[in-house]
Amino acid sequence: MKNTESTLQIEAKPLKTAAIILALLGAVLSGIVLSDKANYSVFSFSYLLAFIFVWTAVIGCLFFVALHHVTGAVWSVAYRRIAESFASNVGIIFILFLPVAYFTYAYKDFHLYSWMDHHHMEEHPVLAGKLPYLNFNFFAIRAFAFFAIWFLFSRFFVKSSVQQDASIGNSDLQAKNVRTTKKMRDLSGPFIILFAYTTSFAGIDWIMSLDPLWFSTMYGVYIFSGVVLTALSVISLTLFSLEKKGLFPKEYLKKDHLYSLGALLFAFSCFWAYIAFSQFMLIWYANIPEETEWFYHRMHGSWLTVTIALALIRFVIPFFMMLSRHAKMNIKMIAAVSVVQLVGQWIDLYWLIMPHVNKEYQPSLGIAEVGPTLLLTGLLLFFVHRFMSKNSLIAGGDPVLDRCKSFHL
Amino acid sequence: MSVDTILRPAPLTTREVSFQELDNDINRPLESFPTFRWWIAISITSGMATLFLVGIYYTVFYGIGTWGNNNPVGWGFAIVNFVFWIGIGHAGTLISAILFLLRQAWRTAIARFAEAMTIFAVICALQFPLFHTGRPWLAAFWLLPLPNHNDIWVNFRSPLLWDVFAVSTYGLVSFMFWYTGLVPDFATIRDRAKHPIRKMAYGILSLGWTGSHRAWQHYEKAYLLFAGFATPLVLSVHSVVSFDFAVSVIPGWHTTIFPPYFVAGAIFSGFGMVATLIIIMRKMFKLEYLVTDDHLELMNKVIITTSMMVGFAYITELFIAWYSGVAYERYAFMNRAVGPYAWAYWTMFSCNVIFPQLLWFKKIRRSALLMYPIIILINVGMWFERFVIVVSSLHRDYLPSSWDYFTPTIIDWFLFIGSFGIFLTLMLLFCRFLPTISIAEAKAFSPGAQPSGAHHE
Repeated sequence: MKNTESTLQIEAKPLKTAAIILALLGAVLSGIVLSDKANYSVFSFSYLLAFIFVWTAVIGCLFFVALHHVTGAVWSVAYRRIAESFASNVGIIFILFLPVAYFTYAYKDFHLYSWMDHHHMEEHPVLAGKLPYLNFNFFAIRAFAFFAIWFLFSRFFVKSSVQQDASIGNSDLQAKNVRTTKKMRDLSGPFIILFAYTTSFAGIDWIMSLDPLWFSTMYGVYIFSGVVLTALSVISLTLFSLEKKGLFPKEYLKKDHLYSLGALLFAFSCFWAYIAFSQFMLIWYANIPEETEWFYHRMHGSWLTVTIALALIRFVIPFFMMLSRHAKMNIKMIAAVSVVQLVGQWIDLYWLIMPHVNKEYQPSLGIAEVGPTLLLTGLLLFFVHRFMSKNSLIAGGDPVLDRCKSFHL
Repeated sequence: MSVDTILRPAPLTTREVSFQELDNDINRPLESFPTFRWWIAISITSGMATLFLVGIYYTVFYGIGTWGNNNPVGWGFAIVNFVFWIGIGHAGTLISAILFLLRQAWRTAIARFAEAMTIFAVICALQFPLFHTGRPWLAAFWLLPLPNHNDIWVNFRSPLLWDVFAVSTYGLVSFMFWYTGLVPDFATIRDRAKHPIRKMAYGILSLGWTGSHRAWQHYEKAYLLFAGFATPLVLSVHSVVSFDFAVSVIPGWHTTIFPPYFVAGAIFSGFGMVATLIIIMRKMFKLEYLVTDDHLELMNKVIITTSMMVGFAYITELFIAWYSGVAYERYAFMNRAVGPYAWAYWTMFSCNVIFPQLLWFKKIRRSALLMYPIIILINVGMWFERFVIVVSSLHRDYLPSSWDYFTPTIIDWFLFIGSFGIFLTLMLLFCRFLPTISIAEAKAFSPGAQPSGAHHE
C-alpha cells in the first residue's frame, strides 16, 4: 500500500503569516485596552470569552477524534489528522487558561467570578452553601484535573496516529498499525465518558458560575453542543482552505465524504437549537425568579438583539443553508456554514459571558471585546500550522484509509 | 489476521444465503400452522390482556377512585405506564429512521420487529391517559382542539395537549413508515400465497405492488422522506413527554436536562425491550443467521451508551440539586435517595446504570444468554425510573401536612399487567401474520447482493 499523496505537507506559508498577523493585531489591541486600568474588568471577561472560544475548538476536535474511533467511522479517516492538529494543542490551551486563573485570583477591585467575593458569599443565605464548591482552590484543582485528562488522551490519540504514519510504504508495520488502531478504539469509549463529565463541569465552572446563583441541569449539554459545532466548523474550514490550495487529495473529497461532514454539521446545528430551546422554554414557562432572572436580563434592552441574532445565526440561517442534500455535498457551502457557525459560537459565548461584566454593560463590539479573541485565535492557528507543517496532512498509516478512499454511502 | 476482519464491521449474516432461502425462512411462521408453543404463549398473553379489560371495567364503572392515586400523588401508575410504554416505542422509529439516515445497514435485521413494537407500545401507552380522563368517551372532544359547548377551547399552553399532538403524530407517522416498508413484503407473501383468500388479503395490503423499477424508485424516495420526517419525531415525542413534568415548578420535575435525558432513556428502554423479544423470536423461528450475535453486540453498544447518558443525567441532577442551593430541590433529591421510596430509586439506579456496565465485556455483549438478565433488569429499571420521577416527586409536596405514600391498588396492577398482555398478544399476532424481518431489505443486504461485492458501509 502506497499513499504518496498522504505524505503531503503544507508548503505554503500564508496560514502562518495570517496567524502571526492575527495574534500581533490581537496583542496590540489588548495592549491598548490594558493601558487603561478602567478596562481591566471588561478585558478579563473578554479574555475569558476568547479562552473559551479556542478551548471549544481544541476540545471539540479531541472529541471528534474519539468519536471517530469509538464508532469505527470510515469516511472521517482522511479528515482525522486535521482534527488531531487542533486536538494536539491541549497544552497550549492550558497555558492560555493561566491568565483566567490569574484574573480570578489576583483582581480584588472587581471579580471575574463573583464567588471570589467571600464576604458577599458568606452573607448570602444561598451562596454560603456553595462555598465548598465555589472557591479558588477547588476551582484550580478541578481545572487542573480536567486539563490533565484532556492532555493525556490528546497525547495518546495524536501520538499513536502520527506513529502510524511511519508505515507508509513499509508493509511490515501494517500489523502493528492495526493493533494501534484497535487500542485507540478501545480507549475512545472510556475517554468519551470522561469527556462528558469534564467538559460539562468545565462549562459549569468557567461560565455558569459567573452567576453563582443561577443553575441549569442542561448547561453541560448546551456547552457540549457548541463544542461539537465549533470543532466541525474548524475542521471544515481547514479542509476548505487546504482544498483551495490544492493540498488535499481529491479522492477524499468525494460527495459521500463531504455529505457525511455536512450532515453532521447540519445535525448538530439542530441539536444546538433543540438544547437551547428546551433550556429556555422550560425556564421561561416555569417562571421561577431565581432561574428566570438569567434569561430576563438577556431578553430586555439591547441584549434582546443579541439573543435574536444568536438564534438566527446559530440555527435558522445554517438550517436553510444546509437543508438541501446538494448543499451538504458542496465544500463551499460547508465552509460558508462553518463561518456562520464560528461567528455563532463567538456570539453564543458573548451572550453567555459578557452580560456578567456588570448590569450596566451593554452589548458592544469594541477593541476590548475583539482583541483577546484575535490574539488567542492567532496563537492557536500558529500552533495548528506548526503541527501541520511537521506532520502529514492525512493519517497515512491508518489501516482503514484505503477503505476511506473508496467510501460510499 | 488481516486488516479486513479486525477493523471491518461484521457481515450482516453468518453465512451465505440464497434469496429463496430468505423467502422460505422469513415466511415460514406465516405460512405454517401455529406451533403448540405459540398457542401456549398467546393463551397466557391474552389471559393477561383480559386483566386489562377487567381493570377497565372497574375503572369506567366506578371511576378512577379505584386507582391508588391520592392527594398529592395525583399522577400514579397511569402516567408511569404511559411514559414507560412511550419510551418502549422509541427504539422502533430510531432504528428505522435515524439508523437508516446514518446508513447503518445492520438495522435491517431488527427494524421491522422494532417498528411493530413501536406501534403496539404506542397503542398500550394511549390507553392510560385516555382512561385517566375518567370519561374516555368524551375524551375525544376534550383532547382535540375543538371549542366545547361553552366555546372554551383546549388549553394550548398545556404540555398535556402538546402530548396529544406529539404522540398522535408519532403514532401515525410510525405506522405509515412501517406500512411503507411492508408493501414489497406483502407482495412477496401475495405471490407465494396458495389460498385465494390469502392471496386476495395480502394483495389488497400490497397496494398492487409490481416490483417494477419505477415502483422501487418511488418506494425508495418515500422511504427516505419518511425517515427524514420521522427523525425529528423520535426526539420530539419524548421531549414533549418530558415537558409534561419539566414545565411545572415541582422539585424533581422542573429540571432543564429533562428533554434529552428522556430521549436517551427512551432509546435505552426501547432497545432493552427489542433485545428482550428479538432474542426469543430468533430462537423460535431459527433466524439466528439473520439476527446474529453481531447484531446483539451492536444493540448492546447502543444500550450501554444510552445507559451512560441516563447515568450522566442522574448525576447532573444530583449535583445541580445540591449546587442550586434551593432547599426544595435539595430535599426532593435527598428524599429520592434516602426517603420512603429509596428502594425504588436504588432499583432504578442499579438497573439502569450499574448493571449495564457489565456490557463493557465483549463476551457478555455477544452472548444472548449472558446479556439476557441485564436487559431484563433494564426493562425493570426504566419502569422504576418513571415511577421515581412521578411518585417520589409528588408524594411529598410543599405542604408537609398533605404528604402521603402512594400504594397501587389491584386495579392498577391489572391495568399494568394487562398492558403487557395487550402488547405481547399483538406481538405474537404480528409474528404470525407479517414477516418479522424485512424480506426485501434482507435480500438487498445479503452477502453478494451488493454490486461491488463489498459490504455496504
